[in-house]
Amino acid sequence: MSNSFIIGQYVPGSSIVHRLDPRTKMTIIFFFVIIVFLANSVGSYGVLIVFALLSMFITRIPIHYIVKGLTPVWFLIIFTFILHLFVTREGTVLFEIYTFKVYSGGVIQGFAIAMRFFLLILVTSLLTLTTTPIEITDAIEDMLEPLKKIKFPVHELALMMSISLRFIPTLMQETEKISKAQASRGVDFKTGPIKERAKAIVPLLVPLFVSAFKRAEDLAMAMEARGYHGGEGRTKLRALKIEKRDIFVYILFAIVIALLLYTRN
Amino acid sequence: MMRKKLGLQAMIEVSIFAALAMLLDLLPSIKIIPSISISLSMIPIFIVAFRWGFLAAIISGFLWGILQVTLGDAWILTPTQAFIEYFIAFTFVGFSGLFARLVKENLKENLKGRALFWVVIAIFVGSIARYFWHFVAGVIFFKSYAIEAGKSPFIFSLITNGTTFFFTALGCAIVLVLLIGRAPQLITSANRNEGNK
Repeated sequence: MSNSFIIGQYVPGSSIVHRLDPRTKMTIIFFFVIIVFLANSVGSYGVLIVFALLSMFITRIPIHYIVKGLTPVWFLIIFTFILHLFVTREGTVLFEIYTFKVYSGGVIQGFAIAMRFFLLILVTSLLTLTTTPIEITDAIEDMLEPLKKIKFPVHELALMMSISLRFIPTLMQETEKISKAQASRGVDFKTGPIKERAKAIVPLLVPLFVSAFKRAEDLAMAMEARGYHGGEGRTKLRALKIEKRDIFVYILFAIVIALLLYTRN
Repeated sequence: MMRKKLGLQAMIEVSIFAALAMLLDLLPSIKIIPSISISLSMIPIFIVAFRWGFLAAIISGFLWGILQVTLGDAWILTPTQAFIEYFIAFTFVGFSGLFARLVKENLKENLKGRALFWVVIAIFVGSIARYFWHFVAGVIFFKSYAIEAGKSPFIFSLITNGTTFFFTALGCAIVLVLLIGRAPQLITSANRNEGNK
């Protein structure tokens, strides 16, 4: 936790993926998450893998960031693979471990499912790796615009999200400061029985919450003083704009879908 | 619309406490046994729930869910699973806000025991509401990844989500009882008519 702390996974860069309109990225990922489930042959998985890996390399994000993002899911990927190895009884028997028979269908299915996880996690993490949380917020606000018709508070939600994102680093520093102050008074957060640990957390939370109330009050007052009156007629500092490259990427993605449908069984 | 219903002060508190919920996941967690750790991240949502009531708590939970998606903390494994886990489940923590009045009024009248009783009830209601959806998402998830033999998806999801639910709710309840018992003004200091119209 230092001053240079970056919230979320965002890795700054200037690749074409970084510069794409966040709405484009979100739309494509939304459809990608759906079409992953359509793949059912070697060719169709191949198309998706090529697309995902190509996007990954274009971002020019160092590979260890991406691997780090995937760490918690390796377990899941391997677990499902092994599970399928043992429970699927299709195809021919490949080999036996004690009484378990491993079928060829199990290997294929296990591999396909593991691949599906890998693709989903990789592509969704590419969004958060190349897009700042605030860009995502702007995109969500813009894409939910139609919901304003049914009185859904789109603007308010976007504002609240921006406030949350703005305060995460601040609150993080504050937490660090308070826990250091309490630790210097002898509060032990890391060891001891559960009951003591639960007790130790109270002197951390009370000042943290009190200061959060204070910050909320200050911000509310500042906003009122500047005449904040809600979403009507407000203009934006960062306006989103669809560029040529966005259209190019949409066309490319349409080709990917076409290829996928063509290579399906 | 929301601003008029909630007030600006509450709206901002809701956002800041959703941020705190994100942040508490990063604190050193309390481990019961190596594989089960208690997450205290729901506590800020409960605080909002008791201070400002149902609507504020629902919004705060909803924000917390979206924040996880935008910050890349979310696991998207199937579209339905992602939608249920990150948009619906966290929003449902807000059901703890239904008990706001019972908690607040008892605290104001200095009936601490009674107030803390409702705090615990509210925590369990909010947690059940949330984990019910994690359970549903779990069933959908295990079903779509076809585990034909062995444990049924229903039981598997019930066991995994049930244990996490129980320990998380218990942990939150212990900490919140200590917290509100010692500093009831954390809840009672919220005043709807103060500072804004």
